[in-house]
Amino acid sequence: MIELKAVTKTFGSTTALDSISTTIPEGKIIGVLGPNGSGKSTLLKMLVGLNKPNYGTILIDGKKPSMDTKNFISYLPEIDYLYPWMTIQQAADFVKSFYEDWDENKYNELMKFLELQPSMVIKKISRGMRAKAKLLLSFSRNAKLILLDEPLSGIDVLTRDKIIETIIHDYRAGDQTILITTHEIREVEGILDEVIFIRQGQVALEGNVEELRCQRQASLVEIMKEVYSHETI
Amino acid sequence: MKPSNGSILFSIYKKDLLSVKLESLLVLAAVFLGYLYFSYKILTGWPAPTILGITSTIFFIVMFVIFVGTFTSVSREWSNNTIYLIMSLPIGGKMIFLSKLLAVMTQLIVLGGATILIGSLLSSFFLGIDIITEAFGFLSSYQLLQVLIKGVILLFFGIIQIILIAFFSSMIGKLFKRFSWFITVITFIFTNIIIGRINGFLLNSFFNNERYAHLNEITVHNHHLFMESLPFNEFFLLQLALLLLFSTGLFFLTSAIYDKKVEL
Amino acid sequence: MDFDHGKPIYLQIIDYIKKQIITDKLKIGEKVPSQRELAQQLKVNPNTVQRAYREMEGMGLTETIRGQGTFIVERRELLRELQQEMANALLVSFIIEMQSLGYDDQEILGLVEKYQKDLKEEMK
Repeated sequence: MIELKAVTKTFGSTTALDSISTTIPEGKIIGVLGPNGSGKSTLLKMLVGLNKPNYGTILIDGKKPSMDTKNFISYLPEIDYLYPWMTIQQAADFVKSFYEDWDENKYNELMKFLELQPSMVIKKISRGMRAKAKLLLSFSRNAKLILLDEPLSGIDVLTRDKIIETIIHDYRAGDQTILITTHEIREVEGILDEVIFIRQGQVALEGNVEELRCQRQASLVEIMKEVYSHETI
Repeated sequence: MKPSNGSILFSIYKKDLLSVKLESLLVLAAVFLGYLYFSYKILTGWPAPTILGITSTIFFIVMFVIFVGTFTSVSREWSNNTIYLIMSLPIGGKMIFLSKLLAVMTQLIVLGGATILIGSLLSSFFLGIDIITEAFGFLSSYQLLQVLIKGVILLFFGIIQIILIAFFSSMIGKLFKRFSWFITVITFIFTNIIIGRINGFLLNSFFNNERYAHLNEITVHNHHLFMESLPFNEFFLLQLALLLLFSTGLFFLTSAIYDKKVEL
Repeated sequence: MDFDHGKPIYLQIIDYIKKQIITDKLKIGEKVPSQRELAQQLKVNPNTVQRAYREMEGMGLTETIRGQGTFIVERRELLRELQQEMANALLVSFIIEMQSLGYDDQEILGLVEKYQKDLKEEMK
């Protein structure tokens, strides 16, 4: 379970997160939605420990983000973060040497499913394949907390389907928690259990997706438009 | 079972080495070509002893290239965005910088060693074995050998210290979003100056003591005596201790900055 | 799967299965995809699929045999029942919509006959 207590993060004169407080439940697939610059990526970075809050506390299972929490977190940033000169196999060998939750069977299975080869060199393959490679490495672990930052951005439609299918493929509901930030709401709407809408660094709306949809008789896309128009909820 | 620290270190060390595989091979190739070219020059007229100057020059160029590489070893993680991967791994700054230190040292030993080896072979070829053995004979006087060995040890740890100052400066630079490089360079220069001053001050105050006052007279006239007398040994030990102290301090400070202060 | 907003996804999944049966893509007694497979096919949360399967079991639409999977029940009347269910729903919404347009029951019947005849003509 993740707790954010009055977390504020500023970068120079920009406030990314403004005294944001929320509790993110365990064992669900949660969408952290909002337009660019709303603070969603910053939130994920802070959970991993790439950023530290200026004010407030972040607790993951009661602990502050640290080397201990990194052990069970799998983080997938939006950018290409793998060593460009490595082959997929080299990258896998590298990553697996740090974690005890690496699953070799999953790795082989996913490799086939995503139609990748171990000998592919990261800098030589297309953008879509690099996105799949990142996903392959993240999901070859049985991590308790998976953080996906814009996993679909800049990816062609067919690959997106594969990515969503991969996310669903081995997801252990109740055991694993997945946080996804995206603005491709249409495509992830179906897989989200809960949603948090972030607007200008604060929680604008949060709750169970099915309930929100039924209450408002609207799809998430429509709810989002409502949230980000200038009317209040 | 969480992987052991040893296997983790090995994994990062391997990565750091492979990262510089290409440049290292290029440097090696350049060294070969350099020696080839100058050997040709010597064979076609240049005086034989120039081989010594050439060896030294090539050696220093290699040292300099690797020295610059110390900085790029850190900055490249940022420019490639691989720092996102490194920072999300369950490892701390100490592991990261230890690995980078070992990788740079490996480069120095392999490339520097290769340069010296080829240079020595070519030197003995051009200058004749006799001159070489004469030089070694000179060195084999016990005192000189002692000094040489101690000098090499100090040099070795001195290099480690410089590498650590480079890492430290890089981390200070990374604390700032703008003018990173500028701050890194300035920090590097200043840290060297400050450490140099402190080092000199401590050495001086230790030796400018009553105990050694009478030796000051002698040392001016008789280096030989100084070298085999107690002060040199103590100088060596003190300087070594200072090097180790500063290096350790820099190492822990650099790791702490990475762990606690650097953000993406 | 495109989602009708407002209606819970798990209910839409049940509708989907029913449609599969009506259009003969799923036969009586046939095995339905595993929960995870269906979740992947439809791009929905496995939890939601789980809920749908529970409901279908409760409704008597499916039955789970341990070790073998989940199957559509072996009831021959099922197809007709589902057809009737769907037809009823369509009729109800049709009549209500037509009424809201201002047609009365007589006019609605008349219009239906007219369009049935026209369709037969077109087919010839």
